[in-house]
Amino acid sequence: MKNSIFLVVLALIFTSCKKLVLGDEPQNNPNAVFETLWTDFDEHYSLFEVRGTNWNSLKKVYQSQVNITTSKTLLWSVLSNLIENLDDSHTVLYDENDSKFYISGYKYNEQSKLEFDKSLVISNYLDYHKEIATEKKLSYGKVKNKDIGYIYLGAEAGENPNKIDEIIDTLKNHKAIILDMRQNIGGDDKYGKRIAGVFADNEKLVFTSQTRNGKGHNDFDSPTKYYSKKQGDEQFLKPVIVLTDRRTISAGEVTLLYLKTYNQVIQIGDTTAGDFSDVSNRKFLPNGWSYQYSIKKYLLPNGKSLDGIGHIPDVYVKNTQADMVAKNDKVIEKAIDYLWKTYGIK
Amino acid sequence: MINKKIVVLFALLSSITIKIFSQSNTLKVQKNQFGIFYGYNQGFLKDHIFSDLNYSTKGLKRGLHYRHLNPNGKNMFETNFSLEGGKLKTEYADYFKSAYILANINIAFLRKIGNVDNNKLKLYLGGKFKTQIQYLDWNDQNTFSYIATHGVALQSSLFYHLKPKHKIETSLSIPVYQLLARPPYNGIDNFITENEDNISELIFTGKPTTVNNYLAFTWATNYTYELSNRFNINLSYTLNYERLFDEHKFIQLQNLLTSSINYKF
Repeated sequence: MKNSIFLVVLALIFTSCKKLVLGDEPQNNPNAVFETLWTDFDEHYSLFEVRGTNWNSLKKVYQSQVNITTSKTLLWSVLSNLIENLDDSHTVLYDENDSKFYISGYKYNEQSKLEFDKSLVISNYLDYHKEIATEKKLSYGKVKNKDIGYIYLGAEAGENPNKIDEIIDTLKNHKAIILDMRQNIGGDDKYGKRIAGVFADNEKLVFTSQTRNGKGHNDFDSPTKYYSKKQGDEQFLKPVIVLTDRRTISAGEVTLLYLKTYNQVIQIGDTTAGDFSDVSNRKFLPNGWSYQYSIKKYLLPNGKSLDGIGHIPDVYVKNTQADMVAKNDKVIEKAIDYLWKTYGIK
Repeated sequence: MINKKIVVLFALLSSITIKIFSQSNTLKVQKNQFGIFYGYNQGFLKDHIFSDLNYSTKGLKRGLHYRHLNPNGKNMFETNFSLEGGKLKTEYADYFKSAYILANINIAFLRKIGNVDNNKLKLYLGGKFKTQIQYLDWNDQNTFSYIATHGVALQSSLFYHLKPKHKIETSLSIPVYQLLARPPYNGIDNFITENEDNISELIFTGKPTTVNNYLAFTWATNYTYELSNRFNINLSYTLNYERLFDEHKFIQLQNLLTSSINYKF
């Protein structure tokens, strides 16, 4: 009898109700899905104040469009429209079952994909172009018939950012470098800082970063200060033109924060995406969807944020799709022209 | 699947070993015991930093165990190390299936405070240093969380000799003071980003916590069969419960069945 009781108790423990032990979890219905997502953003998203978003008023607008019978398609539309108000391309809604996702504020970023063609740069504007085996988004070359080096940085991702030292060693005798950061999809801020460091002409405070740490929209931890730092055996202190477009984003923009503190750096191209923050863990919804959002704010030493604004170029120019079809890259042409007219570099 | 086969194989080997060694009837008390154990865990987990959803856990644990009794059996020193790996599953989407690893190191010193019927029933009490590190991961760090506790626990162990070759032991340990390391409010902050390559910094930087904030207990009961003067085997059930009363709560319940084989010397 005692043995039987023991076995029953053991079986109960093994099969005991998950809910009893762990408590409630969000329910799988449209109302609960909306509420879960809205509340999580409300308690964790970092840029309501910076971007001037009234999250409470948006709830009133969009929650009324959802009820218990709302279809999956309509719910997707409502949530996409809700996060679109943030205009923050670090905010993404995913439906892995249907292999789709929605990126907030991504219209111009998407358009810019059609306004840049790296193969056009290589074939029409460079004498040579070399890839770095370990760094898939880092390559270099020389501008055709000009005493100008060329570096392409498409992401702050790779195995060894120190490879930039070898590139600088190769290009150091040129009179200028064009650092092409168009379509830079970001990555690791530390990687970008290392790259930027080979152009550093000073060491000073560049920005601060804070992570949201409470339920109040203005609850943030204490700021972490980030300083520019000279990297590598020697720095390239001759003119550097940085090319940007609307898809220069995230860690790419943080790299640009460092670069723009250096006196010899000029930005030419389009305004960058304006999305600096690190992203959250992917968050899970009970209907199988998931999402992520910004969790930090980056502030310049003067306390201002470029989130939602982006880096505004010193010289504005952008390509069109027609330019790409016509095999013209007006942005790199403007950079070459700028170096000639400003510094007499040819 | 392969791991389940290993469990079955281990159980079969244990039962074969019983038959081989169960011929001897007189046993000499050995003061040291070293063993390996292997087990299966099934439980539940919720970590609000990782997810708002509830998860079922299934995992396999393996580890090493050492126990020393002083000559008069008054003091007991024991230590064990275990490593567990498994899956987290929510009922909502297969796609959310995640992984976890769990490492444990325990070092306990117990003192016999009483016995009944000529040591047939013995009670030990003492303290334990326990460090436990658990890491949760979905899709190669697209979502992650961890909880690490390092600190002291109170432990009691009760031994009962059913027959000369048969022994039952039950123990209860309750952590009383821990250094608790967890990700911050938002899962990631500059400290984690800056130390992502320095794991020890992450898992040993925490805040002190007591039973007011971190409530946990481990209750284990096991049966030991003495095969010979040199070997015994052991079957064990462990119930492990943890609950963190934090802004982002963490709750875990584990049911663990393990078998072990031990060498005595």
